Formats: sequence, C-alpha cells, structure tokens
Amino acid sequence: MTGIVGYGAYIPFYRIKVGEISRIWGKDEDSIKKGLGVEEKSVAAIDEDTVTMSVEASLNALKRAAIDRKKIGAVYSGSESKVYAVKPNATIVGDMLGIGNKYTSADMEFACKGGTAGLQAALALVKSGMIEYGLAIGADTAQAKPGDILEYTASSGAAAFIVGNKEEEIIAELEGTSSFSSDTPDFWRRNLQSYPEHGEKFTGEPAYFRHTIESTKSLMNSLKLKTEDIDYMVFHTPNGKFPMKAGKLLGFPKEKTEANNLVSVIGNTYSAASLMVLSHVFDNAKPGERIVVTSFGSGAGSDSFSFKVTENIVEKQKKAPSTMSYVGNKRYIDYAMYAKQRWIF
Amino acid sequence: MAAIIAAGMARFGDRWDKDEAALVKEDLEDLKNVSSINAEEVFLANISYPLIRKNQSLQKSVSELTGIPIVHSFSEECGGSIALQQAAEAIDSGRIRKALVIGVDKMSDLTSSEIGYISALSLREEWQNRGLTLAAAYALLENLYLEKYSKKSDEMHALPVSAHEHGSRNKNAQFQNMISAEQVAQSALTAEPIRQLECADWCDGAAALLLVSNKEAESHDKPVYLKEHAQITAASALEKGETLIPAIQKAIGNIKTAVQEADIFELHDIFSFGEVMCIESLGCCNPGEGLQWIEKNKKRINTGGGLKACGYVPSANGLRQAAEIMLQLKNSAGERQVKNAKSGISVNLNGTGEKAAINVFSVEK
Repeated sequence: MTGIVGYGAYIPFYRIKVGEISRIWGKDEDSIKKGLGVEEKSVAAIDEDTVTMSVEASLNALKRAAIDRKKIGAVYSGSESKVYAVKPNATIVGDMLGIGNKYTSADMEFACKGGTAGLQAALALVKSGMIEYGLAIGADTAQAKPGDILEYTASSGAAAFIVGNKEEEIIAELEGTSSFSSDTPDFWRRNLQSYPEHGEKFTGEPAYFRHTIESTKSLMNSLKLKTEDIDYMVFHTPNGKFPMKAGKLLGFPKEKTEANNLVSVIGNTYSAASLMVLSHVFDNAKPGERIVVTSFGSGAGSDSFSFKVTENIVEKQKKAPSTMSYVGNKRYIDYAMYAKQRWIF
Repeated sequence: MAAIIAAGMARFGDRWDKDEAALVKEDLEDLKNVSSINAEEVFLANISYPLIRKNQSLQKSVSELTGIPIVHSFSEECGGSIALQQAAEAIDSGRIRKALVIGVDKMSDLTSSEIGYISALSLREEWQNRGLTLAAAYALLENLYLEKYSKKSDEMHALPVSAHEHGSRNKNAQFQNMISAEQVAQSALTAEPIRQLECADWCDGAAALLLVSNKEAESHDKPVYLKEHAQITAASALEKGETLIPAIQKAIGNIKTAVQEADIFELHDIFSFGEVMCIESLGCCNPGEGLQWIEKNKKRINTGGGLKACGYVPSANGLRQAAEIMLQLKNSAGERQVKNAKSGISVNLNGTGEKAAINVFSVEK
C-alpha cells in the first residue's frame, strides 16, 4: 500500500484585490473579476520566497505525518520561481527541515505541474521500495509582467506532501496515476527573462483543456471510474473559470468541483495550485471518499492521481493549520506595496 | 462577365491544428464535393503568410495542392474581393475560361496586441505608429455619429444580436451562440463606446470560389452572375471627419439603383457600427437613419452571421460574403434562406474604408 501520510499548505499573509490592480491599469474591475472568477490573490512578503514557503508547508506536513523525519529518502521541489537559477531549492529545504543527508533530491520544473511531477516520482520510489518516505513540494512566487492579464492571478503559496507505504500511517491510498504530455507552447519564459509570455486564448482549448481532460479520462478509464465514483475532482486552478469548465466537460456535478474555487480568494499559486486545492480537500475529506486530482503545466502536460481516503485522516486533519485558516489570516496591501514586495521596483 | 458555379469553405475560428495550406486543402475538398475544379489559373488572397510568417511560399504550396501552375497573389485586407474581381476580368478578357479564387488567413497565432497593431495596417501610417488601432478609429467615428444624430451607443447593441442569430444557423461560423442586447451592454469596453461583443474576432479560415465565363455557366445548375464590381481607394471617413465612407460612395457611382435594390446585403461589420456606415454610404437611407433601416431589413443583412458571428478572416472575408450570396440566390441557404432572393451585394473594406471593394451578384445575366 502506498499513499499520502502527511500534507500541509502555506499561504502568505498579504493580499491584493483584483480591483486594486485594475485601478492602476485603467481596466474595468467587474469585467475582469467576472472574466477570471478571481477576487484577490496572495502576495509573498518581502522576506519570503519559494524556499521559506516550502519549509512552512513541509513543517505542516511533518506535523501530520508524525514520522521520523530522518527516514525521508527523497525531496522533490517543483517550482518555476526557484530562488537560484542553478542550485536546488530542494536541498535548502531538506537541510532546514533537518532530515539528514541520506536523501535523493532534485528541483522539478514543468511550469505549473512541477509539484505533481515530484509527487509522482516520490510515490514511485516509495512503491518500488527504494525509499521509505518521500517529500514532494509545489511552491511558487509567480511572476507576472506589470499590466499583463496574468498579474490579476499570479500569486504565492506552497503545498507539501509526504508519501509512505505503512498502512497504519496512510491517510489517502494511491489507487493510480496517469499523465498526458505534448509539445504545446502556450506559456513560457526564456532564460534571463523576468516575466513569462503566453499565447492568450491558445492557453485554453489546445493547452489546459486538452491535457487536463485527456489525462483525467485516461486515469478514469484505467481504474474503471465513473464520475459517480469520485467525491472530489481537483484541477489546476489558473483562474476560477477553467476548472469549472473542465469539470463540466468531464460530466462532474458542480458540487464535486467546488473546492477549486479556492482560487477566487488566493489566486493562482502555479506549481502549488492543484496541490493546494488537494490539501484543502484533505482538510474536510471523510474516510472512504475518493479524490481525483489533475494538475496542468504549460508546455504542456497533466498528471492525474486517484486517492482513496482512509480512517487515519481524521486524527491528522487537526494536527496542523488548515488551508482555510491561512486564507482567513490576511492583510490587504495597495499596488505600491505590492510592487515593492514583488520587486517590481 | 463571369459567374460563380461553386464555393468551398473551411470553417472560420481558432483552427489551432491547421496552417494556411491545410485550410486551403479543406476548401478544395469541399469544392470537389460539388464540382470538378479544372481551373486554368488561381487567384490567391492572403495576408498572414507575408505579414506574420514573413514568407511568400504559400503560392507554391497552393500551386502544388491544386496542380495549377499560375497563381496570382493579392495581399491586402479586402484581398479576397479584389482577387474575385481580377479573376472575373481575366475571364472577361477571354484569356481564361475558368478560375479558382482562394482567400485564406491564419490570424490566431497573433496576440491581441499584435492584432491591435495589424488591425491598423490600412490607416494612415503616422496614425498607426502613434498607436491608433482600428477599434479606436471606429470608436472615434461612432462617437461622431452619436453626437451628430443624437443617438445613444446602446442603440447599436441590436446589431451583434442579429449577427449571432444568423450565425447560429451557419455551421461554418466561428460563433454559433445567441447573445442578448443585455450581454452586449455588459461586455467589456474595447474602445468607448464600442464593447467587446460589438467586435468581430480576427481568426483562421479559408474560402474558395469557382468562376467561369457566362457562356460556360449556362451548362451549370443555377449559376450566380457577378453583375458589377468596383474597387475604390479614397480618403477615409475618419480623415474627412464624417461618417459616410467616400470610397463606397464613389465605388457605387452609376449603379446606385441596382445596389439599393439588392435583396441580400453582406456588409463590413468588423465593428457593429461599420454596418450602419455601410448602409448609409450605399444610399439605402438618409444619413442618421441607418439603424432604423437595418432594423426593418435585418433578415436580409449578413444572413450568414457577418464578420461578427462568422469571424474575421481578412483575405477570405470577401469570398465568404460572395459564397453566402451565392447560397441565397441559389435558394440553398437552408434554415437561413431569404425568400425570393434574386440579387445581392457585398461590401468589403480595408481599415475604416480606406479602400472599398464592392461586388453585385444576380441570378440574371
């Protein structure tokens, strides 16, 4: 048996409202909010980066896992806003967590799905018996060019998952995983560029929807799952509209995709996004429920996982702050402060 | 003159998986369902290849696809209409008996800011380079009109509603959904007073027509004759500070009556207000009364959805308009058929009307 033994999220304290950003650029607040389905987004403080946020999320995951942290044999960090271009985030996090040195490690980059790529690798290593526990993290302080449509959603946050293979520790058993990848240039940032570029509406149908839907369908087919068998459908959340539409296209009733609305109050946390919604779902899930999560990374690809929640989740849910507790703990900043915190000047 | 005997269409919209040649191939396959091509020359309209790909090899690809060695090329916004006119002239001169006219563009690879720049290609160079976009140019004209005739901008909102209603009956249209005037009013402002749902979307697509001599047309079922055609380049309405388009007024010259009496109108509604400027410039009604005239006659205007619902493929636009008129005059427009349609006119513009290409079609020779 392989599965999740601990999970944790971290969302920074600061928020900026969509209306504050639209005010600066002379855009219509209501049509942007309606178009994106996002009200506000989280902003990392000036002393936060993907390493500090990863550590926060991982500490929460460790509190829930309650394992001997020295037994973690792999640390994978997925991000597109690494602290160094060359030098891994993962080893800084590993050392700060004090897990010793006997672990394999790498930073994963696949736009917004670096986190789930790491989770997939960690699950495979645990399942094969090569390691006892693995830590996979998705974290971003997402960049958006001032004035670009991405600026309304690109936010900051981290989510961490510890995987293991002891039945008595597992809170959600892995039932299966599948992926769908292709060379689709919908979003990219070249070397030495500060901000990403994107293909506007090309990011929709041929990118997000094609990969998300194909990957989810292939997982459901291989496990012979119907929408009725699934209690929560979690997606990558680039905005509020895409996950709802993907759910509809796959035939899910609205209530099974509602957790993805988390994006409306924190924005798009990129590599952390689908994992953040997953941690939010774990906070409320009951034993026996089935969760399917499908990430999406531009460039492009999706990873899908099916998890069956076990009895062990009940005692672990309260051992660390819930995702929503971070959502409620906030202070609004104006665009000038945002510009300072995001190093725009 | 010349007659259209068949049309081929590649659906307009975001055709991510097709390039220009693949779209032309769809046209040809559609044409082959109704007629053998056997044309002597190709008249090809395209702006996306030279402008966006910075390459001119599309002519070679089209020659290979069609097996026709002579390919004339037209590269401007209303190039489809111009190509059709040039093909008719070649047939009229007796040089050839059958021509294949193709219009194709792939605009969806551009970002919206690139489209903004390219939309202004036909405007005065110094205006374009100071940042005037086509939307802004139309907005200036519409504001002028609203003030001059004491109208309100929301009076224009019925126009895209009608376009989408027509588009809902056209399987080749980019947008086949119905919209309400309320939705138009609530859509984002593009350039005040123009709202997003009053703008045609620049997209991908292709259209092709087979043109033959009048004599040869006799052996075909219900040919549609190109009765009159004109293209005029003139100072634009914007330069003159008025809302009648001088190029249209000059182009219709001494065929005014035939134009005004047409049964089907294919107008350049790249922005909804463009439809009003076209109808008033054609002299169908007094200046300032265009909206009322359109309301009364909306069933026979832009019957396939116009630029708004079909999508705007610059080089294919004039040919899509001609193909729609052909369907109507052949009485084969299905659900969107206008009863007893005998003649039709298409108006295709560069920019705000820096050039107008007008074609008049009839079931009679």
